Amino acid sequence: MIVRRLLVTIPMLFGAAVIVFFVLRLIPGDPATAILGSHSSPALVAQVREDLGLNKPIYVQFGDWISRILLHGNFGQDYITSQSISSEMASRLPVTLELCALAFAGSVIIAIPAGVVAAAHRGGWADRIIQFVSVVTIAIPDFVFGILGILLFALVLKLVPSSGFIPFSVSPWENIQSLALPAIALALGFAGVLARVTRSAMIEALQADNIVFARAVGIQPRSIVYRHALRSAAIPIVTVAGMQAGYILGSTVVIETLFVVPGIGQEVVQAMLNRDYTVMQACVLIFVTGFILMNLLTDLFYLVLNPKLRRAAT
Amino acid sequence: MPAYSPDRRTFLRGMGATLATATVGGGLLAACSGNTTQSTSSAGASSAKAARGGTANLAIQDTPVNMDPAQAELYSSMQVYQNIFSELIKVDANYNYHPNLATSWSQESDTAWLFEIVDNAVFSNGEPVTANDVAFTIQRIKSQALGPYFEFFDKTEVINPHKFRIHLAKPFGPLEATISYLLDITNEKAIKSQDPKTTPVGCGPYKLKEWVHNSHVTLERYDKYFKKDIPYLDEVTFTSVGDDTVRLSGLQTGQFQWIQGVPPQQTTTLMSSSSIDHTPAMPVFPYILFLNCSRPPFNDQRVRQAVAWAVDRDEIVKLAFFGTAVASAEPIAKQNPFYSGVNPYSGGPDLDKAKSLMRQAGVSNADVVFLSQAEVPLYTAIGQVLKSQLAKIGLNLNIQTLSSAEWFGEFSALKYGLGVTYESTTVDPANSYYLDVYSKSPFNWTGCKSPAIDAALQKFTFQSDQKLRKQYYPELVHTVAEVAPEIFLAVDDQQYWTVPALHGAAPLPSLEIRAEDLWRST
Repeated sequence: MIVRRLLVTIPMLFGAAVIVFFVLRLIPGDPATAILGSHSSPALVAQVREDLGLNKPIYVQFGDWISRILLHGNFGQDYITSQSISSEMASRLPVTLELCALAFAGSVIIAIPAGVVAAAHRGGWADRIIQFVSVVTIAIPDFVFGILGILLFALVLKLVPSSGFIPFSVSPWENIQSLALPAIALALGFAGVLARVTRSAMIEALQADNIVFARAVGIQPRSIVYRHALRSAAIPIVTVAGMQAGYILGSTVVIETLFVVPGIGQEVVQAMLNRDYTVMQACVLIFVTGFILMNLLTDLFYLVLNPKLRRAAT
Repeated sequence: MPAYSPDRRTFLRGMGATLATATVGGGLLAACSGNTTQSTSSAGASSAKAARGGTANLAIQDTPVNMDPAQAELYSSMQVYQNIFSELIKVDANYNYHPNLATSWSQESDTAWLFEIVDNAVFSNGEPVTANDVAFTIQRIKSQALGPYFEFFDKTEVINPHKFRIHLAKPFGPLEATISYLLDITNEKAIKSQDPKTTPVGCGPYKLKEWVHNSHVTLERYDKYFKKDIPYLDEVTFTSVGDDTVRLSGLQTGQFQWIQGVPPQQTTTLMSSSSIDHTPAMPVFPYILFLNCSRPPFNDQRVRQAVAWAVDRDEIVKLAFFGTAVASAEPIAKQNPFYSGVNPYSGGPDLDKAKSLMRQAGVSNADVVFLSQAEVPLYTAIGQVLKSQLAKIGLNLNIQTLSSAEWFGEFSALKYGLGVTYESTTVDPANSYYLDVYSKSPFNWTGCKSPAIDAALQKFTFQSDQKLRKQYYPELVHTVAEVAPEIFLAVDDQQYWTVPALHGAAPLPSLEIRAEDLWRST
């Protein structure tokens, strides 16, 4: 089943590449004038278009691009900065992945226990507070949390820097400090959703017949909640977590720009503003690939959680 | 579900939480408003002696994209690489020119200038700076993005390794201004052997140490700089921070020691802060309203003049700029030696005159597209003020906000009615007028071809006697204002904010961030 899923991923990625390439070219705005800005005389614009290969038929442009990736593993060169896009992505991707991993881990660690507690104390103070907080975190955009976090934790409390990124290899502690705020801003909305889903799934699980039986035979409440009910509720939780992880990746566009974190998200914003097709294509393709892989991992995790699915797969 | 009935412990917990929240909220508000202790210190006014050593992190608004001085696509790139390269001459805050790489220069005739350069300047690749490099730089730049500024530089005659003569195709008044901020001297060998966009090789006070794209650029002191005892700082980092609040927070926490651009609404409060120093504000960014003369209704000069009579600059400065600009009917402010104060529409806004002109032109209730850029919210703010002002004379503005890529495309293709942009080339006003409104300029995005403007421009631009130019300038201002393909609205301030320990910062008409002047006190 794993092999089959991996094989299916290949045409999905190719389809995504086709869509990315052609959809980006529907965006209004000429890359040549975007690059040249106020210096865009007709002669220079023509020269830049020639250099970028924009005068070729679109299917030729696509063929050149896809063959360069498939045959040489090369995304091309950024026309504005003359940087190799592949090396740019290679330096930025780990930053984004670290940020997303911190956000994902933090939100799971907070949200799942919160959802469990809310379900276990349904109707009580804890449940109400957790529901209220989760609605607030869902409603408020992540960049608002980011700004508020900067004002509180950086400006007032001076616990973390307001922006910037320190690589882990330079200083592990400063690395964590520099990513703390962006990760929290990313995690909060996701945590709210996950907490609510966990609560709903746990409420349903706690009403199941096996749980009623477990209570009747005197199994400890803690054991009932965490060993029996949580396992039953895990499938929808994992489903939402997997989907939300993909959205976390997309949300890095705003958060990395706000906090000046040199990841893929920040790069795609600059590329979009500059109509830098080659960089945009590479960045969006990476995001799409990440989303597809997250869904694949989610599907594979189902097999771990549910023995019936393992038997069906084999 | 049990009814809620809090016990004493639960109630006190709640009160404690509320108190904590109020304290934090109050702290946040206090932090946001800044300290209110009076302070009149300014970054450049320290009496202490400049000390060598230390580093500084400067937060700039935009992102440098390449380090090739012949491209200069973005102001943000220039701010960085002008500390890696050197110009022949430098301009100061009073618009006076001083020797830099050039030890002396003189005008031999209307079309010939003789320069001598230092003999101890060395590029960071070890090559000595010679007159051949100057000749190469000028020749190269003419075929690059900045070429139009050097259109009238005919050839550079190398006399000896440290002396050369610039021959012009015709007398060119803005020569000193142009070379003071646009001619960064490059080394021919370096340009041909490495990519100048990513590997700058200059003879300036700093050299490139690290560049993380879209994040920061770090420069380190160049020990073979031709000027003795400077720069003071060992390292300077330029960090790109697009958000005003994040930049300001970074300054307040000490993460940054220098920033440009604060939320204009907070300028007054910040200027009285004891924990933040500031430089004087220098108005250097003219904001210009372009009118598309190639299509109705602005193909009629009377309608353009009606707009000029209807525009209330003071209201624009107050509402859009929050007072951080000066109203001006020309691309420069009073500090510039050329400033004329000429305004055929002085006493305005005069709606009666504007409406009369509109009636004469037979235009009423006309819909006009106003192009704004999403990346520059100030354009939209100006558009909104203009919308209410021009509605009074029968022009209905439809504000369309586009990304900069689309905006440049629409603007250069003359697919707009009105549009606002700012310029950064204000050392000599000829560099603004000539490119914008000369009929044959490739950057004339007004579509206006006026013999009167061309004649006034020729007279002002192609005159090497600066005294005569000052006499001709008011006529140029008046002529452009009369024809009105563009209407100058205001000149925005350039002001820098620093921590008290950083000195030497000063805004310059060339918009350079002269890092060699910065130093830190303990």
